[in-house]
Amino acid sequence: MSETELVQKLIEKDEPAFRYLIEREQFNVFRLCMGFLHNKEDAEDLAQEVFIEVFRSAEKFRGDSKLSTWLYRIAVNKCLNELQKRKTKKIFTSLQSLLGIKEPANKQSPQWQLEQKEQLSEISRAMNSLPENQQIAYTLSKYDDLSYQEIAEVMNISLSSVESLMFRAKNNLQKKLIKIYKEK
Amino acid sequence: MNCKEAETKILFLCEGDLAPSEKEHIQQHLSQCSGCHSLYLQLKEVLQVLNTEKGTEMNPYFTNKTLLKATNKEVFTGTKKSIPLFVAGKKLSYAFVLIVGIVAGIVIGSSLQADALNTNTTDDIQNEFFNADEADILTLK
Repeated sequence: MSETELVQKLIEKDEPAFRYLIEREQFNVFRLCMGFLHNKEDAEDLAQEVFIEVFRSAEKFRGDSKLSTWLYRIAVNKCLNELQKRKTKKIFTSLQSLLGIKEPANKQSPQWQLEQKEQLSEISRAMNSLPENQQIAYTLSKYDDLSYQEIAEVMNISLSSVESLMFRAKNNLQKKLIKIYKEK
Repeated sequence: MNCKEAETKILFLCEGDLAPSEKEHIQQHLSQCSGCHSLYLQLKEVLQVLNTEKGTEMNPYFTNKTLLKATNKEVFTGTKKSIPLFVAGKKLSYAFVLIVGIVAGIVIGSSLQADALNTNTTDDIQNEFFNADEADILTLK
């Protein structure tokens, strides 16, 4: 199926075309969501939302980029919205703890997983604290193995801007991680 | 190369971004400095965690689950995009309760204010009456 045919069928709300798109792109979208959320279940839920959004708004696709590029843009926006929601939720959780309302403890924390979890938490904290554009560029590169040219297309910026963002992202990540390790 | 300089290049070394000459310099420093070497190992390990996470397997039923979710959200051909009736009803009922609450608040508030005014007026009349009585009594006396 050519890309034009696929887009046309998506606009017509054709279910087999939707299935085809999911099967073709699911892993890319899932990996991107993992890069932002660092949790399998959350990433899968969000990836589902991305596909539903794509399907719902297929008629808005203008065709001036590849369908996958458009899909990535939707996925990135969804991930950023989700992170924003989490930040708000975190404020409420902090308020709850201030008021003495405790969340139920996570019972599933075997000793052997703790170290891995801790490292993941460190890197995800460092990644999530990067400026938005740096975080997007780094995640697209690291999790989806996109080339700098592809990242430039998704982010709608020049190649040199991507190079600069990637350098600053790595530099900031390095500073943040070294700071965490030195504080330990 | 000193530690400060090395710390600006450790992650780039882990990512394989350094030119051969820079790589050689930092590796030489790492072989002599245990602190920087330890940082290097920690960064390498944490980046490895990202690679492990990247390889997380997806739910094999993802496609079917997504299709089911899409069906439930009525996105396929021939289905309406309008808000489901129960959702609309729920929203309307919230709005209704809110409006009733506001109106009730205004009504109760104004009636309480009126009561307060009436009480004050009655008290004033009573006071005047009693004062008048006392004055009359005094005059009569």
